[in-house]
Amino acid sequence: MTVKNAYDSMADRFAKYLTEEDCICAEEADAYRFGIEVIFLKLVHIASYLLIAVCMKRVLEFIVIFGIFYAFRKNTGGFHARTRLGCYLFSCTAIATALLLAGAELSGKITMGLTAACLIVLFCISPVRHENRSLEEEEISFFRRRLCLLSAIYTIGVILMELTGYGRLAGLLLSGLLLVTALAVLGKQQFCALMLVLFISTGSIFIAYEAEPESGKELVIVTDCSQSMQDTDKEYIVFDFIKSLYAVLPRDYQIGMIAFNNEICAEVPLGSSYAEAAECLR
Amino acid sequence: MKKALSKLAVKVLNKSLRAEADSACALLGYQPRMPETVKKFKKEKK
Repeated sequence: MTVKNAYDSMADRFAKYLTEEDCICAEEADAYRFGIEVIFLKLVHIASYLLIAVCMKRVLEFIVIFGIFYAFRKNTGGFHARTRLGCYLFSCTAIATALLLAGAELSGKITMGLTAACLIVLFCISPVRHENRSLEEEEISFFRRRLCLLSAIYTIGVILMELTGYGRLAGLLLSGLLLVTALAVLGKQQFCALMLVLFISTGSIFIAYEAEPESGKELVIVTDCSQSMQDTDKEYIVFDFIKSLYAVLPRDYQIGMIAFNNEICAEVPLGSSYAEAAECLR
Repeated sequence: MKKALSKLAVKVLNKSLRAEADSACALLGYQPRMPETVKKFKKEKK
């Protein structure tokens, strides 16, 4: 039995049962049948997403991302695969990707920039039509109005979070928004959009790496230049070695140096450039 | 008991159908074909 047949059979039987029990009238059976299928699909999907979040140890992140996703998706619509199994696999992958992206550190400027870009895209293409969900003009304007209101609240919230030092939370919200935008774009122009999403994802990951704050890799070298060291290093080769460290170590290392005898005789402040260090050690 | 459970199920379904009619598409996953009766249903049950 295929997944489609299993769902159909279950929904049919339950709707028939409700009709026989006089809980619903026969004309409404179609609508209830649809309702049964949707509820069952949602239960299966949400349970699977939770399982993914638990496995990735990101349950709290999932709650935040899914909350934002839910709020926006109601008004934007978006991509759905053609089969139940395809949709299931695709959406599980999408949730896992969003949870992975949730770990990226973004600066306030990048968060705001990506938020603005996502909202502009959503305004331009929402609500996305789907062949299985017809939208009347009245509904379209209603969803657009609600999207405007939601976006305004979201933007104010993100700005406040950035100002009050809750940038990490703003980053999580952005993951949810990126997911909604990607699926909306994908639903609009499926193949071209896939390319665009790949481009944006790669760009985001690249930016995330670039935006990583200078990490705390600090190296301070303390050198003894007292008389007793004259026998060992008369020509101060140690200074050449320190200069060579500037060339060899990765960019995120900050190097400093203090040379002393009976007092400090040379000093290179932490984070100095190669030229500054060369000048101090001349 | 069976009757009470059926009524409860109908109540849950009513809420779900109203939510579906109030959304641009299904949340995630497959979008089953939405019958036009769901929209009428929403207006009638409000």
